[in-house]
Amino acid sequence: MPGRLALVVPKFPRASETFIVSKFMGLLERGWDVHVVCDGSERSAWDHFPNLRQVPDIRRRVHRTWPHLPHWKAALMAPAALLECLFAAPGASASYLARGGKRFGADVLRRLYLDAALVALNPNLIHFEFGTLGAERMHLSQLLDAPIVVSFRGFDLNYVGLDEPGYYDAVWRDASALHFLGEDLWQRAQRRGCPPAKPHFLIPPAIDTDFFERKEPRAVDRGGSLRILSVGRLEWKKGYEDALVAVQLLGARGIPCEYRIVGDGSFLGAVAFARHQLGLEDVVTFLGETDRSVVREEMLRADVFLHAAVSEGFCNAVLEAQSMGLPVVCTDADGLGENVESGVTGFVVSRRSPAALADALARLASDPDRRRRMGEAGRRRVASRFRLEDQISAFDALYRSVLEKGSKAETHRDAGEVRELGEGGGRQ
Amino acid sequence: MARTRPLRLLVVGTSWPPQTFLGRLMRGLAASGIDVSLAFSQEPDQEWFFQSGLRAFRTWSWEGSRILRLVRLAWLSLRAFLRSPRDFWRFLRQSRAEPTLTAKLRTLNRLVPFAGVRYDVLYFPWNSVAIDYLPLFDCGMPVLVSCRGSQVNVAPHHPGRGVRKGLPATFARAARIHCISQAIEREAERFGLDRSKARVIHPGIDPGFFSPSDSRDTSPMLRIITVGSLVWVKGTTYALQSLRLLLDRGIPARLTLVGDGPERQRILYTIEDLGIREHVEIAGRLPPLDVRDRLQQSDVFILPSLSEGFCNAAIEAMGCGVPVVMTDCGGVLEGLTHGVEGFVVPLRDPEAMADAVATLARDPGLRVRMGRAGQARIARDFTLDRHVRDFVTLLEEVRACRVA
Repeated sequence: MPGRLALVVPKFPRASETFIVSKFMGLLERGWDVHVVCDGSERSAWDHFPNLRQVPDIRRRVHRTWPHLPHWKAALMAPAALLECLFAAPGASASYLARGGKRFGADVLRRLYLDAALVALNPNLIHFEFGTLGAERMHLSQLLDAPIVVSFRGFDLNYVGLDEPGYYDAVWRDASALHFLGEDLWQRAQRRGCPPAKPHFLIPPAIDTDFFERKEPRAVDRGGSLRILSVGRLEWKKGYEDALVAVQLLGARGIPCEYRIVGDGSFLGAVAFARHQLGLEDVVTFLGETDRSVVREEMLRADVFLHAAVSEGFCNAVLEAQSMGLPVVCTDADGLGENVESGVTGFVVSRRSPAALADALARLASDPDRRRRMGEAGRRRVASRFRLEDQISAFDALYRSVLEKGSKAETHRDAGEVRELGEGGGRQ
Repeated sequence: MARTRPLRLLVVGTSWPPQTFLGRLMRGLAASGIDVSLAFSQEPDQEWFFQSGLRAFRTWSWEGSRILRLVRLAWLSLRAFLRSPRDFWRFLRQSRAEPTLTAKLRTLNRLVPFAGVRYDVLYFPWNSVAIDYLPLFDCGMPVLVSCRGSQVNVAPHHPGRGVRKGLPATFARAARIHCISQAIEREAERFGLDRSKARVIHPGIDPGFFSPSDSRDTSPMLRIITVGSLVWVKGTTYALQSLRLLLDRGIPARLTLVGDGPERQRILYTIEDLGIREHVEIAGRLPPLDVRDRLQQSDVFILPSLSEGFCNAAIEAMGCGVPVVMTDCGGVLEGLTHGVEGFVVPLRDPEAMADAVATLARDPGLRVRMGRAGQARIARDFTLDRHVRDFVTLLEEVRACRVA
């Protein structure tokens, strides 16, 4: 059964998107002919993934799309791209041109150039790993005759294309199956026009529970200040301003705390300004972007993990924190309510509510024993539900079912045609 | 006598078209007999300049094909050298201090048009721009720089940026520093501004333009408006949260957002997430006339800013007789007294803002009283005429600073 899969992502590999790399390796082990199609690949990012480098034919499996800007460069490259398609996959290229010509006219040539990497690969199944990537390329299902799976991971459903009605209509119509990180995103998709009968799979993210495990003994509680940690890019959707207000409220209640933030991003100016304005210069430390061993170190020394997001697909950092035995205080944004079991592995409070975050932090601050219990429950939860193995199996099953259905649909179509002919014949 | 000769002013660092408030100030200065030239890197719109009584001073941005850029720079450099070898040498030295070749060329390209140019006063409406033109401070023209906000309020707290290197230098070398509020003056002092050089002139508006409409529609729904770019510093999402709270309390209300910016997606998401799509209109960036019309048809103006130099948008609303609810930041309290022309509420507190708006929603009489008080305050303290007059005085003062 395993066939050729094309996973489409913006950049590969990427330090902040470890899950794609894990998935790529996992599927490869299970015998799939996995390929990645990306817009670019940065040398420095490869250093984060030594295992990936060791895959024997890795160069053959990572494909870069042809540059689409500047236009003159694209025009220069176009003949080469066309030739590559014709040599690598003459059949697919011919069918792309024939069907595309009918649908798009002369524009098919421009599209072929943009899709060249996928056409040349001629996969059995295409998986757009983010909804935004799929939105404008659903024509491939018809032109390449390959089933398409589209993943929705949060931002793509939450705010991309909100002011363009029907932004995802082609995806709802032409995708063979959809993948969501959790129930909440599936609900959101339906609110944005996805028919409830659409085949969909809820597969939560998974993390490396062996790496994120507390092997060292837990530090003895010194009765000092509460050590709060956040890990996540500095973007508005992560709600850092609310987190800072919560930390300030905590201080105002006489609960000493320190707050460390791992991550970098365009919102640094706003977050740093909030730190200044709230008078938290001595309490809050920005650690910038770090690799995962530093993240692990920080998790070892922290008492609580805080995640104040207003929009969040599922959040791997929260999984990692639970895996490290940290109690989590987070908002109910998207999948976070499915990620953390409120009252058991942490507290889930309503988003945009610094006071509620502060309450939850205060409860944990006064109760080290509860912190330990919640941390242990978190470790158990992640180890039993968010294992990488299970995630790979789920994707394996997803692809199998889509490919199976695809071939069944074909036989149906054939059977239908035969029946029609037969009826026609009967009438004569 | 030399003094009777009109003051020749060169203004550097306005965009095209100039921001509305700057355009008004420049036209006002021209009407008061000052000979105003605006430096522009675009082909100037002759019609606009003719109508406003201003002159254009041509500069060139570092754009176009590489060859064109280099040929133009060579020509400009030759011209600069012939006009004033000393200036040219000064500019060359500054450019050579830049780290990369592109930066060197870009800096030289920015400076050379000013070689040998002498005006009575050189004015930078934005401190951030003045930093890029530091060598002009040594050309013998007294310099006036405006301090309007984010450069001293916000930027220095960014860990990656900090206080821009040139900021204290502009404070030290300018003849006078104009601050748009006392709050800004206080902030700037932390970065080396000498109080004896600072002059506070609050912004002003034309009460003939920003005035209540004769034909005001009535509406059963409270019409709330906010005007400002969609950037994080304006705190627009707090306005959306306040609206949600008002609706939850059963107050029928509708919010219009005037302005556009990089946070549009955040705003759209927040609107969806709070379920208030039917109650919010994103009007986008509008010309002044449309802004005025919208203000005239509003019941309350709100602005949940996190930082402000002054409350420019609010004084336009006050001129239109609209009560104002603003957060307590920067120079807001210099333009608005809590409980008189509107309410001043704590920062980052949508609940408090909703309370204030709810008070106004319940009491139409209060809205009228506060609206009138706002108009009276504008007429007393914040007219464009007063603003222009104070600026003329300041410019004369700066001219007198000229080193003999």
